[in-house]
Amino acid sequence: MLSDQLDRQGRSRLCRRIEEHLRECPKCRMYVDTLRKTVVLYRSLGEESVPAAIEKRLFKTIRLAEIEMKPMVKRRKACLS
Amino acid sequence: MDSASVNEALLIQSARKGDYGAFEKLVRLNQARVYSLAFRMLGNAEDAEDVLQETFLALFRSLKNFRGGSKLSTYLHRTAVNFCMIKLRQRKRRRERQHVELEQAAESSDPRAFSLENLLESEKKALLNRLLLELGMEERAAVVLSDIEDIPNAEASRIMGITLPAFKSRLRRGREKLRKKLLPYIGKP
Repeated sequence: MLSDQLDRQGRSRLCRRIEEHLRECPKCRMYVDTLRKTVVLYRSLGEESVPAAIEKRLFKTIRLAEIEMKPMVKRRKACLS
Repeated sequence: MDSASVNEALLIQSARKGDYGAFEKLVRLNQARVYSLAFRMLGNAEDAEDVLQETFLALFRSLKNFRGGSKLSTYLHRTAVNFCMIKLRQRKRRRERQHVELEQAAESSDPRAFSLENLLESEKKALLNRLLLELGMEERAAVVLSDIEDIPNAEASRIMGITLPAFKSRLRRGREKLRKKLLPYIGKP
């Protein structure tokens, strides 16, 4: 339920009740606070960039697959080019 | 449809007609998200590269049948998650120990010695990635898709091929386990 609340997917009445409870309960407040911090930390990770060598090998692999899928005549031309 | 989606649809159309340049652009636009997902799921660059290649090869081979009914990003995420799951199951079978990069950085991030604020950005990143790898693969996939890739839960559940309640349950368990692991760093007010 608390996880859903973080996604703002919980029903509003339920959320209100949870919020009321949180104001009175330090233990639950600490739980929600640390859960929120956890999600925020992971959301801040962002994208890993693809290392140049890996990108180069990826395009080489795709190019080979493209050549394999071409009919024989086109394939011969592609290999020669 | 926004301009990015229109551009993507045009590139797919051209790529289906055999325009390699258009396919290359599609790869460039999407490679980082596939690589990131695979890296976070598998924990090392070598396996992430395998998944990156397999995912785009699968797209290349199925381009003719790709009708654009589902978004390209959904297709790529689903394909990448499937390849990651296959790799993780193979690992499990071989009883391989998970190879985690930046082990050294992770070791130096001992909670007794550092608070999260004092860690270098790279150490923090390594710690978060390491903790992620300690989750079961389905919980990890849920956290990666929802919290890192920022994909709505309904779409993420379709990517994983499970129901929305099942997805939420995995996400909840994953978040809770990570929260407990991070407690030494974030528990203090």
